[in-house]
Amino acid sequence: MKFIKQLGVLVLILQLTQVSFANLVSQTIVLNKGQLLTVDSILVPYYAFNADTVFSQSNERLILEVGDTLSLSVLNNSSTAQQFILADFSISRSIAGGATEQITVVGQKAGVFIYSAGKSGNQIDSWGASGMLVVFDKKDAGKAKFYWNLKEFEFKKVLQLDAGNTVDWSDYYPDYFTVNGQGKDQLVGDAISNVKGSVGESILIMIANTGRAMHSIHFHGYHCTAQEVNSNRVQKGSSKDTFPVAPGDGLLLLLVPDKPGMYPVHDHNLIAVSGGGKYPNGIFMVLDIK
Amino acid sequence: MKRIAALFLTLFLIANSYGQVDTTFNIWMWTTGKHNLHDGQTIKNYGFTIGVAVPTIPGPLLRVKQGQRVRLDVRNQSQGAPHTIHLHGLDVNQANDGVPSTSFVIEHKETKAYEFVAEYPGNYLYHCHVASVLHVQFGMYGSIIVEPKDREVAPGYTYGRDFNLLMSEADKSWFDNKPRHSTGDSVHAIFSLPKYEPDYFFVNGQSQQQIDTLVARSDENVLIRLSNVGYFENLIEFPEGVTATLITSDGRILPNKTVVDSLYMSQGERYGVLLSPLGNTQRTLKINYLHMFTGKKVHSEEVAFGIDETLPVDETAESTSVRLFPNPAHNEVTIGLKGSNETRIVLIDALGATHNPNIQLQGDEIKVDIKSFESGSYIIQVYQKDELVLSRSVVKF
Repeated sequence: MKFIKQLGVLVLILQLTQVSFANLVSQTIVLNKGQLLTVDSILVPYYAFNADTVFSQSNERLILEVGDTLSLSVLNNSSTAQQFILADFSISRSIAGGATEQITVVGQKAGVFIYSAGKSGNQIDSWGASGMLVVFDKKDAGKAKFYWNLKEFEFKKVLQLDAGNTVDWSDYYPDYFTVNGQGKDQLVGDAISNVKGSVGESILIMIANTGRAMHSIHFHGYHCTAQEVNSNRVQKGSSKDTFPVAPGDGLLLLLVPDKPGMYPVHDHNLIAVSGGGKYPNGIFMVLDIK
Repeated sequence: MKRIAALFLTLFLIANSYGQVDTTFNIWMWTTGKHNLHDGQTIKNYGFTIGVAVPTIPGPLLRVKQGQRVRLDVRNQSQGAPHTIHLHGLDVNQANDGVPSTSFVIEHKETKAYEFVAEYPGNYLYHCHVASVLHVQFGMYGSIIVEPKDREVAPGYTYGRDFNLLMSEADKSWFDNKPRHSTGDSVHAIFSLPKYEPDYFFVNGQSQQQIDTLVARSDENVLIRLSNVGYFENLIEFPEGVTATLITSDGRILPNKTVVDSLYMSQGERYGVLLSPLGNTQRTLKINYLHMFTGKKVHSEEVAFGIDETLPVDETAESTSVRLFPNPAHNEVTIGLKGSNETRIVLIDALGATHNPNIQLQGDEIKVDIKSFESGSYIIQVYQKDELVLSRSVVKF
């Protein structure tokens, strides 16, 4: 009986310790409208959530550890009201043009989640404004981390959106495919997208599909383990070389390379390795393992 | 003296290189194929063959056993276009990865080799990685099966017979107006893509009435090996009245073996699904092809199952019980396999060159005429409908 009491006290201490390690993470994101520069040097009207009022075509990442509290300020830097959705955290707010909304969420479980300026089918989230919120397990604190926010868009439909027209998505045929807002050659040297690591190292790769179309991501050279899945298509704990990432899905993959080398990772819907109707220009990254 | 030393060195290198390889495939790459479609039309495809042959879609099915070291001797005979082979899912090293910018290409009239160890059982793909979106569409792909020991796909899950279903599509306009000799064939060129609107939907390169019936015994578990090398997604609907258990994906055993009615398969994925015995009821498996961007169902194909109780209970693609005699042999080798007009024999000599010896079909045996060949060690391979069913060493004296 005494032993059980001692054990209970120990558990309580451990829980309190856990709480004390939880952080309050304060972050601001700004919904900007600007111009995305495509891989073939065309400027496209585009939305993104950025760190400040300067437009960048890569959406800001929100990063927590399990137990952390996120205090998020969302500034709508446009002239019209927009939504802010964090579906996995039951957050749905309307933000007036020029207004700021304060949002607080707690990272209860590890995984890759999506925030956006609307639900799927809404116009603006299909127009760039969606990013990832990643909650890491504390044991992953020291691991190398890389992020792939997958999107695609059809240039004609973006122009229709920009003109304020309703878009018919039934014949959707995107012509640009991006990772963190960029296509293949724009990604060269990008430290967020292109994986660098060493043999035997534990590397985490976070993937979110914030577009409207399925993306099927194939790894050359290695299988990865699906450590956390926010998906109906991939089993947690499965080891695969090709991961289906449906719109709205998030995957947290563990890669432990067993050999050195340079290996591509690309969409195996090979049409999505294009940009502006040119190949190869789209979703194509590199693993560089020493 | 120098000549003798050189000869010994050459023999040592040959013996050393071949001594480490369990199975060798002699693959040729072409741009001069002709593939028959279900409606009587044809497309001029690219493709792979074993030895000299007219390529169709897909390339030959390569079956190997778990643990084997496998070598692909690959000859490019394609009027100028460089090609490679990417061993999709086999986790090979960079040199064998088949990506032009990080590995090597095989130019016209060159022969180069890829090697891999078949570590994990499962179904894999191989395809050209030069201007991939074109060369894959044009037919430069096939399946590799790594067979598990004792036909145990996972602990406690065994099968009596397996079938490989490789899904893809073809947009005939791409074949009719292909950028075959344009910059699209260059290794590093950027080229324009036409809109992809496929009008033919393949199961092992076949559509509708062309699709082979899968014949099994009524009382055996059947392993369905599913792969998608197309640009559309697939939704597989399994036969009603049969328990379909999803067991593997991408050559690995899944953490949870789940019973499924249907299964989505995206581009480049592979799955292994075990079907409980089919019984004596007519059954079909349905394959839906989903648009790559809208997800809408565009087309469906059906694969029928047939029952044949006369099939052997324990049939394997390459039975170790197959007799091959005499060995060493001087004039003729007899192989204890029943041949047909779709049987081909390939002899591979110590230098890797391939030969097509004369054969005679006699009952349940194949007689291979080797009297005109030089003395030495050979690998003798038997292909049925382009599928390797036997690979053995034989010594000619």
